[in-house]
Amino acid sequence: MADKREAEGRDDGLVILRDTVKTYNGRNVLHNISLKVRQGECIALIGKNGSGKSTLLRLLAGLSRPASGTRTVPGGSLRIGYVPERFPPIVFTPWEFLSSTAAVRGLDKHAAEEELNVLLRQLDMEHAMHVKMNQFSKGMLQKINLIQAIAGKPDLLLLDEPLSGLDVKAQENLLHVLLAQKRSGTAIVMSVHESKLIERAADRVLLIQEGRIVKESREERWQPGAVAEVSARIPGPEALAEIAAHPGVADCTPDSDVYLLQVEEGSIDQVLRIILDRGGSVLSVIPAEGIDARMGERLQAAAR
Amino acid sequence: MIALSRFLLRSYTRKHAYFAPLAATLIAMFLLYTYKPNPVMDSYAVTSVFLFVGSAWLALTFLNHGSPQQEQLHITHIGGMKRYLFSQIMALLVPVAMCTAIFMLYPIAAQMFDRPVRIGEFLLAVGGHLVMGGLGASLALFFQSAWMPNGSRAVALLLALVIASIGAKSIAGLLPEQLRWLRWIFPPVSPIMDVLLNGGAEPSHKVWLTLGYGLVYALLLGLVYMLVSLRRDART
Repeated sequence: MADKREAEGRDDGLVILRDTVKTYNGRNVLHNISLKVRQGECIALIGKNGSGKSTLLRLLAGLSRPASGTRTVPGGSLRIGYVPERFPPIVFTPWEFLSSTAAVRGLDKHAAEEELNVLLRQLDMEHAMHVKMNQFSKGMLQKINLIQAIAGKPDLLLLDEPLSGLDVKAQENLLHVLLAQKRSGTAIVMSVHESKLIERAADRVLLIQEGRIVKESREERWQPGAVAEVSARIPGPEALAEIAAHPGVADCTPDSDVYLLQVEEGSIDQVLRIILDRGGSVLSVIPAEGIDARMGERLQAAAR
Repeated sequence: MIALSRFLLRSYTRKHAYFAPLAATLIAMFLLYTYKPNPVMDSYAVTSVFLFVGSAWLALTFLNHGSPQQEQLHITHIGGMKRYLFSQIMALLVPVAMCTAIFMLYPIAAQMFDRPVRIGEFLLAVGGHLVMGGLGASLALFFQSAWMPNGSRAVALLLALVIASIGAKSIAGLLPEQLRWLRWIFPPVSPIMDVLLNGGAEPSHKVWLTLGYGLVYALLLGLVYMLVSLRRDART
């Protein structure tokens, strides 16, 4: 999709790195990185610890300066949401912190409070919004870390290990939030290890090794024949066998008390009907928005 | 920027890092006013030096109170390093102004002086305190952990510079003639102390020029800090 826009002459790069080199203590940690981040696209950075992913995110955020090469923002200014790998130890309640950061961003007070309430509810943090954060678990802090970045609908979201510390439900909720942000035009660049996030959100995957982008994969979204993920409760082995045998079901894997089905777009209606007719229930249907699942797995394996 | 300054001050006060420098500065003031009556300008000259030392200490604890990640978030929230630095400096001036108010008003309210304070003296003392506080705070900018990761060394060097600034006149007097110019490198603490002590005897333009010199010195330190910081990465 991004290439199509470029071909049409609408080159909507939000931030562009050209031949950037980053040096720490005389050692190059990023080598000649060139990258254009476009509106509404999601880029996943994968690679070993210490490969340069976090440094690249900081460079994109403008938090560090390249030793050589350039970082340009064609639009002049950019609203950035940044999730550092670790959330700082701040002696505030989430509400105090988040409303203060909204004020710092210059957001309208009432609109910001409404949005924060929605995000806190989506990430299941409403109950803790007035509790001091020094009593929080790692997962709870990570949720606040994510909300502070997402609030205000930034142009560019930079996420360093966004799923770190989150339980399965929170990961799923976050994925929905991120996909909604992406649909509204926010560009996302994230350093990730989890293939689930890559498969379902990423348009491009960059494999980084020793400060270099060694491989780039991109997939067109919404391709005919793409698969959606259906989460369903299926009663009994007979129903399961019938559904798994359907030609439109590419994969069927148990996930605690539910089954995750990879269903081809053209067969979703039929498969859902079978599940319901056999007394099952459908928990969610997530359209295939990201790159091909097998591609994600291959790249993840290469990063290890 | 005001919102970020307010946030930084709230974050600072919640960590209680201000307590030691503020307590030490106030104790020094209360000790000075143990007996009364006290001469007006002599007392203000001494408290302005207390404020110079106290501001340097307060500023150092303020600048070191946040983590690198907190700083990164502030920079992205406010939209750039320059705005962040301005907000930081604005926040830094708030405790200086508050201490100035305490140092100015306490002796008047507690009737510690031997006579009423004249309006000219009051304005001169306010200017002197603000400039001295600004000098202390601007010196501390260069000794924060982002610039000097070794905290003990930073405190030792800042303390040495503070002492040298207070005693610059005497130190310069001990130097050979060709090195006397060195006193102009130090923050102009002793000249300001002199004009506050002898404010009545000096022509007013000389008094205000000396304060102006201190103000320009503090602003220059702030400017150098900004220019160098803009060329550096945010802390990691």
